[in-house]
Amino acid sequence: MKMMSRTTSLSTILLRGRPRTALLAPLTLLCCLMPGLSAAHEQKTAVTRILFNESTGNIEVMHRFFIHDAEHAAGVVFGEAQNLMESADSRKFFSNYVINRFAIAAEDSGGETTQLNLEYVGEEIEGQFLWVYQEAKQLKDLSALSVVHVALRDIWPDQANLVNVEKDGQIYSLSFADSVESLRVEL
Amino acid sequence: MAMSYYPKEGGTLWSDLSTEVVIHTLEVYSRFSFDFPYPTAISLNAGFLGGMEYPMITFNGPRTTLQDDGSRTYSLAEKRFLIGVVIHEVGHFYFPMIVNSDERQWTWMDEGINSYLDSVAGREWDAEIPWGVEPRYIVDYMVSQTQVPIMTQSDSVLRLGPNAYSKPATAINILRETIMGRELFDFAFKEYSLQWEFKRPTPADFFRTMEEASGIDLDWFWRGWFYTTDHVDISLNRVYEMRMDTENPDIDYARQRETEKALPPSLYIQRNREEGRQTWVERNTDVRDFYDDNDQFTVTNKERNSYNSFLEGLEDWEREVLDRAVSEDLNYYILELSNEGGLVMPVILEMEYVDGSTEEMRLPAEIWRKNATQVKKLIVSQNELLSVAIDPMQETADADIENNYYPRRIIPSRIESFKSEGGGSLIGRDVMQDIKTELKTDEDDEQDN
Ligand SMILES: [Zn+2]
Repeated sequence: MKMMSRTTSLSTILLRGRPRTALLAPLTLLCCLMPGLSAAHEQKTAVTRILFNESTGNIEVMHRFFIHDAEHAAGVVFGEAQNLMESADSRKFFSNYVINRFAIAAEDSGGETTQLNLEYVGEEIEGQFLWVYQEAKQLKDLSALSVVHVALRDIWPDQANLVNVEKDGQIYSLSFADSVESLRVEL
Repeated sequence: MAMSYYPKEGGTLWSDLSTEVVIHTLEVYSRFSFDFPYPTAISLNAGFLGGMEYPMITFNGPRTTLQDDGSRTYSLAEKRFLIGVVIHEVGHFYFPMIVNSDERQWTWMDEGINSYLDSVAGREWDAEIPWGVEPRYIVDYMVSQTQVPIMTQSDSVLRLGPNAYSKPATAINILRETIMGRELFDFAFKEYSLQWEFKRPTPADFFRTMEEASGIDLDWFWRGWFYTTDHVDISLNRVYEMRMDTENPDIDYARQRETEKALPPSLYIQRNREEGRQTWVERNTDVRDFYDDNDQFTVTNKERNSYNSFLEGLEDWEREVLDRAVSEDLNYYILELSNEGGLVMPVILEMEYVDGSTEEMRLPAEIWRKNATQVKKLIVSQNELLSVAIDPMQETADADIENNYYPRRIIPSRIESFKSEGGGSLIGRDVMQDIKTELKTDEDDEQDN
């Protein structure tokens, strides 16, 4: 420890020709990804809870993202840097992105399928997470759910999303990893 | 020497923070393990998302954004990420670069242990930043049905993030703060670091060294957290209230009579009264006899004699114990607990009494030793118990909070509380933008009108 001294900016690396235009940004990001990167904390994972709330009669959908992941994703999608903690607009942009990459189709006992009309409820920050909320009315006759969840997975191939469906005290888990885009669970 | 290499894109984010974070990390990690043995520690800005570790050098991602006016800015999330990623990658100098576990076999041994220690260093850097290893955040993963145990060879691990990073990091934080206590844990962890410095520890070496250095049997903890996919969910199902018998019939029988009187009266008899209906016995008092003035709780000398001979039969010390118990007149409660999640953990109880006082009681995990699914606990208190809460500080990753309270409480869902708070907490305000708002004066108001 006694050997340490403070040396800031000991040398400077200049990256020439780094693309600055917004359109090229997503490409750069993808090119720079290396397999086997060791992330600080645990990033590139998101959790979604689908809760059958009997007291409200709603199906509640709660997505939890790492803010830092979400901020970079929003930057890629919207072509300029986003500040999720400082800007309500940025958060709304990001929610909008998530809502367009998440869907639930409900199957009744006769095998008839209807897409749930998930309404946007809002979003909020909790610690290092950003939560995005959606909800829909519960259906009387329900035997299975098909879930599509490509949020962040269309940006980073190694993004993994866990979905826990919580109904009548049971938890059914869907794991979106590798090339999976849609999963079905019988309830 | 602690150093940082960065291009102009690093901006003040790097010039102000990176090297300071390297130094802080070396100080904290050395305190918990051993002095950093190498001459340099480097943080290099690589401009990708994330970070990567090598011996004595780390590549870290975050950069600033160039604004139209030529200035370089960064968001709060980016700042927090830089601090976190530099701590984490520099932490890898120790685990696994020096305590050289095999990350291809057991990723959790470097990523989990390092994520634990980076959370310690993070909290010591700035307690205001949410570092995210609070036990409640691992619950969604731990209740999920598509999991493998932490003790799975790394090629077969599903979802490496929570499996090898946050779950073991949360487990080790809980081991330190809730199971072992800081003093014992820190001693044992330092011992592990010193014994395995420049060597190749396997999981068994970590488990064994932590137990031997602390003298604590942690087999149950390793089994539950590292070898199973169980989760924590302890439920407080019932609380029984009991009163100790004094054996004195003049006291006990009178109490029993009171208990019976405390029951609600018969609704049917009450309705008869309301109708003004008199019973035969009320109308014809000549049929009353001895039993109309005495009930089953009437004490006779027969009971008093047997009480006296009971007292005479007691040894002196037994008599003392009985007299003391009778005079103290304490409250006895039996708590009926069940282990719903399967993972054995200590039971942390917060008792609230009628007089407004509270008391914390920490029952070690050994309470589950003879029965891992159900257990009863006797609580003796001078005060009358009002309510009990399990794990009030949410330090055990208990998955279902609703069954932690007796009597039960209504726990709103996230969306329900979000809506009741008017949609969004204060942190959702755009303070940087709002702060530019000018204060309105009376004149403005008049103009507005
Ligand atoms: Zn790492």
